[in-house]
Amino acid sequence: MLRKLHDRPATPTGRIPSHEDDLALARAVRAREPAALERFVRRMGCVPRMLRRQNGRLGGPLDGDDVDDLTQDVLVVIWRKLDLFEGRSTLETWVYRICRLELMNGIRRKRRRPDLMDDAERTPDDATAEPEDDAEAALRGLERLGPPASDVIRWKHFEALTFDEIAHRLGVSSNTVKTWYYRGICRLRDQLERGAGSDADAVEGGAT
Amino acid sequence: MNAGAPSSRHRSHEERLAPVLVGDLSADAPEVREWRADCAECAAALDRLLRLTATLDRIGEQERRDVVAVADEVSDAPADDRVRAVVERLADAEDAPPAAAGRPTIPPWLVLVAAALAVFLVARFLRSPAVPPTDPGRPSGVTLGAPLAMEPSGTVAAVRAFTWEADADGADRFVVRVLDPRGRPVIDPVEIGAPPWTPDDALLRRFPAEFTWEVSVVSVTGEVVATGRRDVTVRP
Repeated sequence: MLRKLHDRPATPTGRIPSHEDDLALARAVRAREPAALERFVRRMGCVPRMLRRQNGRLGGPLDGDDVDDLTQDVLVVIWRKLDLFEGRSTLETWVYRICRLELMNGIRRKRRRPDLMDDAERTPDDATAEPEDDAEAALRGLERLGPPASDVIRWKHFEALTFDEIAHRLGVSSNTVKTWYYRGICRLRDQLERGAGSDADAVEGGAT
Repeated sequence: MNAGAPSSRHRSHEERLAPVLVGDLSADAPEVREWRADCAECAAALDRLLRLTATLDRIGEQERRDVVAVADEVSDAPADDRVRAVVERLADAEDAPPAAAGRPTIPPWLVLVAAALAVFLVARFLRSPAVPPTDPGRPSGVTLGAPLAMEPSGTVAAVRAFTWEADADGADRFVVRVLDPRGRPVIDPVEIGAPPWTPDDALLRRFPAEFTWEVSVVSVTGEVVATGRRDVTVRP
C-alpha cells in the first residue's frame, strides 16, 4: 500500500525526504521482483489521475479517449525511463513531471491535426494556437538548462528547500548553490526572452 | 553580465541583482528601492527575474498540491486494471526472448503447403470483387493494439531507423508517414511489411529538425486498424 507522501519519514534534516524507498522500488521493478511490480502498478494508478487533473486545469483540450491513449503513452515513457530515475524526488513527483510534458505534447499534437478534433473542440485559433504558457515555457527551459542549475532551481521552487538544505544534499557550500541558482535563473530568463522556451525540445521526463 | 551594461555608479547589475534573487536582501529593502530608482535597467532586470521566480513558485505549489492529492486518492484505491495491463505488457515484451531465438525448424513440406495456399488465396483475392480501398490515413476502427515502443521519440541526436512493435495477428503491412510541424507530409507515405523502416540518406535530408511520424497498421483487407504517432526533435 502506498504511504501517503506527507506520512513519509523525514530525514535528520527534518525536511528532506530521502526517496530511497522509491529508488529501491524502481530498481526492484527493473529486476522484475513480483512484489515490487505489484506495488509499482498500484502507484502508477496516479498516471490517469494526474493527466485528468492537469488536462482539466487547462480546460479539457483532450477528451476522455485522448487521455486514455495518453495514459498508455505515458506509462511507456515511464517504463523506458525508469532506469533514469535517481530518487531525487518521489516517484509520484517524477511521474507528475512526465505527465505534464506528455500532456502538453499531446495537446500540441492534436492541435496540429485538426482532423483529429471534433467540431465542438475546434476554435478559430486552433490551427496555430500552442498550449504553452509561461509555466510550460519555464518548465521546458528548465529541462534545457541541465544540472546542477536545473536541480537547484527545482529543489528551491518545487520542493521549497532552502539553499542550506540543497547545499547539504549536494555536499557543496551554500554560496556555491546560490551562484548556481543565480546563474541558472538568469540563463532561464534569457532563454525565455529569446523565445526558446516554446521549442518542443525538452527531454521528456528527464527531470528527477 | 546578463542584464546589460551597468551604469558608472555600480560595477555590474549582478552585484545588485544576485543578493535579492538569492534572498540575502529583500526586494523591499531601502537600498534596493534606492538603486531601482537610480538605474532603470537594474529595476527592469529585477522585475523580469522576480516574475520568473514567481512563476516557478506557482508551478511548484501546484505540483506539490496535485502530487499529494493524487497520492492520497491512489493510496486508497484498488489497482487500475488498465495500468496493470500496460505495465504487464511492457514487462512481458522486454522479458520475451528474441523472436529468432529457439524458433523451431519448419519442415520443407510445410513450406510448400503454405506457399501453395498463399498462391491460391492471392489468385482468389484477385478474382474477387475489389474490396473498397480504405484511406490509410484515417483509422476506421481499432481492433489491433496501436504500435508501441515507437522509436525515435522525443529529442534525439540523430535519426536513422524507425522501429515499433505491433500485434502480429491481423497486421499485414504498415504505412509510415512523416509530417512537418504544421501537419503537412514531408514525404510520400511508405508502405512496408515489417519494422524497422530505414530511410536512405537522401530521404532523411528532407526531414525537418522537428517532425511527427506515424505508423498505420493495415490489415489484409486494406483497412487501417490502428495508428501510432510520435513527435521527434533532432538536436542541432
